[in-house]
Amino acid sequence: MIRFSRSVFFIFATVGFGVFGSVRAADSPRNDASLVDRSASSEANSSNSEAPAPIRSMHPKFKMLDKLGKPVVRSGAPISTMRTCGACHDAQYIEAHNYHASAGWDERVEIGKALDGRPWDLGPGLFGRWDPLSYGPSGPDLEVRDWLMKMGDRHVGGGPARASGVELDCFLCHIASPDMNARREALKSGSFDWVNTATLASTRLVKKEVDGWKWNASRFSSEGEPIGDETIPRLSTSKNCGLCHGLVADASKPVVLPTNSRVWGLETKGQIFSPQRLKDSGLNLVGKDLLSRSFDVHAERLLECSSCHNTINNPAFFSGTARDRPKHLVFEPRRLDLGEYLARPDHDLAKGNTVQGTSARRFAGTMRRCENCHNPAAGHDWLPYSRRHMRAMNCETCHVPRVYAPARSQTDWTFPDRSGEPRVAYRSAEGDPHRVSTPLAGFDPVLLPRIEHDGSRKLTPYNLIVTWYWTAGDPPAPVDLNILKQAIYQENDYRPEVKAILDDDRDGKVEAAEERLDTAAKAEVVAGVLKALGLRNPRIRGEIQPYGLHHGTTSGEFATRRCVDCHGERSRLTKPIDLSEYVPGGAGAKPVVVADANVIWNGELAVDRSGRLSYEPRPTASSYYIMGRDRRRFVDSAGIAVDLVALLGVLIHGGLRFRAARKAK
Amino acid sequence: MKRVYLYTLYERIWHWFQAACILTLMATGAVMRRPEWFGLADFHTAITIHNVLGLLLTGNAFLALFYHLTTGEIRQFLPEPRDFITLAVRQANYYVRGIFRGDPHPFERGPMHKLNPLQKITYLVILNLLLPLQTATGLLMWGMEHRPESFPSFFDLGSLAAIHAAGSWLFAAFLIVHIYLTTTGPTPLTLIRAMIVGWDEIEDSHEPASESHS
Repeated sequence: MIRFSRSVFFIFATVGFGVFGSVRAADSPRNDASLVDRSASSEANSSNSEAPAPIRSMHPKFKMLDKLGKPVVRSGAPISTMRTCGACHDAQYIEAHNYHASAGWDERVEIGKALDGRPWDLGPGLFGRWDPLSYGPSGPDLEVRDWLMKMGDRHVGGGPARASGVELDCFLCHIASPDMNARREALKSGSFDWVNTATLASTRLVKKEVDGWKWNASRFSSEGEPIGDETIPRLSTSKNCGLCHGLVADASKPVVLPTNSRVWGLETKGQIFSPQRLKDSGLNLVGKDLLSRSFDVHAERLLECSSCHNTINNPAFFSGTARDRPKHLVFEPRRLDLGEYLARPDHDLAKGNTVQGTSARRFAGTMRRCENCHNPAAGHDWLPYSRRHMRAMNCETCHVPRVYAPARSQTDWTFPDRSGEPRVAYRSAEGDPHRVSTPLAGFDPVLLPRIEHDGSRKLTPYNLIVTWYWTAGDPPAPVDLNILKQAIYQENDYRPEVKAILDDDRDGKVEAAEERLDTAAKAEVVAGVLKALGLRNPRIRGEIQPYGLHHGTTSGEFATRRCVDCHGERSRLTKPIDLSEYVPGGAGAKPVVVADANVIWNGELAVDRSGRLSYEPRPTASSYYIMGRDRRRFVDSAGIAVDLVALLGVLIHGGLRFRAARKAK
Repeated sequence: MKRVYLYTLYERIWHWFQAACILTLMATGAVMRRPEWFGLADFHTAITIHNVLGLLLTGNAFLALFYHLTTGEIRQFLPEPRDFITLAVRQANYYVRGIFRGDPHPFERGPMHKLNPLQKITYLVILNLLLPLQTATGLLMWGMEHRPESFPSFFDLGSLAAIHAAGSWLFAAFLIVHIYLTTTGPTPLTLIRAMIVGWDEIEDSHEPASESHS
């Protein structure tokens, strides 16, 4: 009987999920025409017959249960997703097959053996890999609780967090409006048991009162089942992914930038996943009227994040990748039964091979790439040597030609402000990017060869972020920010010795432009104070993290099409990218690229007279040959010399002949 | 002066077609190397023209080889081993000294002796080394661009391009000297006219080395 009812549930749920996908597509702003048509016909029909009821998810009703399996509305206890969702789905399996949950916990290594080259890192994942954007946390003494309070808002729960009471939060991805702010507050306050309950705050099922979270009994049935659409589970949408990964927006209202810097995809890549046209956005873009392209052509075409980053055992998507099937097999016809899949959907989502996706590398390349959906030969008739081009570069090289939203270029932790925040610089923005009035000019990504699965390399667009920070000790580790603040500030002012060295213009004040350790002398003063505070061998470390740009794709006239964009002196392939306006520690300090980056670092770092640090890629050093750009100087010099000698000889000989002929006359 | 039929119609077509191809190849090659100097929009067109002309030049070379082999005209290009150095030095002396004194050409031109020893050795190098080198490197580059997966990794486009460019510079040097030396006939345009119309004028005092067609 239980088996039967379970099967019925999965059949209904399957149909419901499928139908829900259709509803989402119709809701999308790019489907305006079809919506109008439908409503028009609906109105026409309404006079003759009753309008059809709106299509709804067919996910069956479910009870919200606490850890003891009792309905939360009766027990008043926090919800247990493992009991609630686990009543039908194999929640243990889902948690165990979920790199969003494990967050690198299962990939921890001994201190000093992390592939990124940082001696203090524990592994490649969110847990254990020091985050240069938010200053950690990491190190051998890292506690899960500390990590959760600092990084938990980017973690889906479960995995290492489960022992602290934060279960895998299914609602975060599978309801329409999870309350991220409430969840974040619960994490920061250490109320870990209530974190997943807080996610439901926006559903009106639960409310935070003075004495804690209270379930709203009027929103539950007598059986403890939630009433209303807000908690109907559904396929995760891009908006759900955007809660942690970046800015996702539809076209219903103009896209605007957030006022904080914790929107990671935006911060690191200038990434906005939206079907909206740039000219219709709320961004203060330079030359906006001409920017009729969308932020992302795939969003414009109604794709969701899960369209590419699907669950890898989803029978609707599964085809197997070349790496996990025999070479002779083009198509894998075997499929999981739908019920079986819904019971155990593998939440190790298909992923690409990005440089920043350092954890769960075992799944790198499970995602369909551009060429697995598109036929590159069909749309590139105009492109000469298309095979050569496509062998040399990834599609993004031309189809992510420019990024318009601001992305970080530098994070300087060597001189934090009084609140402990770093000095941050952005590309694209001519000023503070979080101000609406700041003009956004966009930036060209730098093109670096990426090492692919098969060992080949292809040019791929990147944003580079350089991070500067103090390390101390042996083996070195990032200096505690509180100690660093002590080394710089004293009560309401700077330490006298620090102030003296910062005040370049000797006017007795330290202006904003002087709040930086841009010379070796300035860095030495702070290092001296750090030593006096008990730190051993304090020094500034600079680190470059490339971020691959695989979203924000465009097509048609906005993609790179002109030969000369690459094949000429001003080739995009060799275009330098600015890293920082100044070099903390002085011009002699050079940052290093993170050791686990799957890019070929073939160029050179250069500091100009104003102290600006930039990186100039040299594809030729990686055996790329760019016609119209690459020349062997020796060959041309020798060739010109030979031709000049020939010309000179001819001129002298001809002149002498002419003179001889005149004499003969 | 005596009119002698020096160059057959085919030889003239071969020569001028080759000249046009080489000049255009050099021009389009320059665009390919320095697109920003020559109107950026023509880059793709330049590549297409370069490729087509490269293939036509190769075809023309093979046809010419067939012609020269079957007609025996190939002998015109082969330096005579006997006294070659002495003869070459005599020709060089003419260019260095005799030409200024108004000395007659040391070698008479005629249907059986169209080329002097220096021309023979030069054309031997140009047609048997430089032209095949350019053709081979050009074809390899073209192949690598079209079918990159068919070539082993040690084939380096940059190196091939460098060799191809070096060959082009040598071709340019040859052209400078070659065009200049066409002015060393009785009048500056005599030799060029001969290559256009086929008939050359040879002074009566010089006995042609073979039967004239006039």
